[in-house]
Amino acid sequence: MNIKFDFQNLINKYSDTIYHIALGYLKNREDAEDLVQEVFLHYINYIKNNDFKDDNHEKCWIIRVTINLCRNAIKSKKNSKNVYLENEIIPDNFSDSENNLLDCIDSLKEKYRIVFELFYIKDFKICEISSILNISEANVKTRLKRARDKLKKMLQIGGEESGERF
Amino acid sequence: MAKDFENDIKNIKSKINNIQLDDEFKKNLENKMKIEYSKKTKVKNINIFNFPKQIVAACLCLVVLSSCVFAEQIGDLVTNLFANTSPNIEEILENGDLQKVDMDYIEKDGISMKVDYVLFSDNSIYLVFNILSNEEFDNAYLKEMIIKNQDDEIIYSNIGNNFKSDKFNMNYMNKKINKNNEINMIEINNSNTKKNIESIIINIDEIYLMKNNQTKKITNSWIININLEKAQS
Repeated sequence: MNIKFDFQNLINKYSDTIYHIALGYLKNREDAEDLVQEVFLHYINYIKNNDFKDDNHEKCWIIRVTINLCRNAIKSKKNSKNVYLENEIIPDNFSDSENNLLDCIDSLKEKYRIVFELFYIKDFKICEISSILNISEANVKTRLKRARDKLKKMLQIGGEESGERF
Repeated sequence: MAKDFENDIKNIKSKINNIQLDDEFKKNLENKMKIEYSKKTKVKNINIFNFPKQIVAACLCLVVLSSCVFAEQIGDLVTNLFANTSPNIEEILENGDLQKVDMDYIEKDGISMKVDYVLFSDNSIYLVFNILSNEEFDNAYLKEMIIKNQDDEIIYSNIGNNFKSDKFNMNYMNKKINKNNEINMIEINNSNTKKNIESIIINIDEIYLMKNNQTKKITNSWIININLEKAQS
């Protein structure tokens, strides 16, 4: 048996990050866990014939796959008309203002939300987000700024328009 | 407002990052990945040695259960492995130093390699290689191989002029068991080997895989370090 790959280390390194991103999209623990598994199975298919240039390449690849699979899962869910358990993931220990902000983040358009989350919550660099989403760094910065502006605007008006996609 | 915003983001970040998958889930995932990876790669076990398939299975069991295996049993096993390859193998086993090597595979370009046993006699070293490959093949050769001791002294080399050196010679045997299973033994004769060797470094730069008279050369650098002091007998 080939034992080149240290799967334990790989899982410890990335599984929680994948899980957080999946929760952000799917809003459901079980779906997010399924997606974590799916990402790692994709990883196995990929490494069969390819090597990653470095850790950063590996990390960006994994997050890109995570986002793509989340998007596919959402499409699939919409098609099968399943109902999400919205906000099931939010722990009790969030304050009202944090909950409000989370709602606002969640109401952002996906292209702003994912950039915002990767940058502020998961600490990805601009260049890494650019690589993950296959957009220019300038575009990442623009989306970040717009996300911030939209959030501040939403918070100023008390999250009244949280049902609307900003 | 801006300060509250930044604080809330900071708090949310901290709390979200505290949400973790449980250890049991991670363990199950790891097992699943190993199984899937094993299915995908479908590696084939090729032992560079001279022993029938039943003995290969026994050998693999021995690797797993190494701590439970007595030296005598290994000796019996290796006697069988060497049968018909070295006329005085029983004597060598009795008087020589047989060491089981506990090491991981070294993987490059889809070829994984390790040494399972090292056997010293007064003037020979026998190396039992174990190779895994994704490639279909019916024969294989190790080329561009150099073996050194801990002092960087060459014990064996088939690179360039070293191959013709009278300091040592090698008996490199190949015998097919079936079309997918290659058996090789390497015996290195060098009168100065045993007394100098505490560890050996094997560097193989080329492997030739043959299938239906077609040869595929795989060039890379498989480096195997064996600390003989730590090897088990």
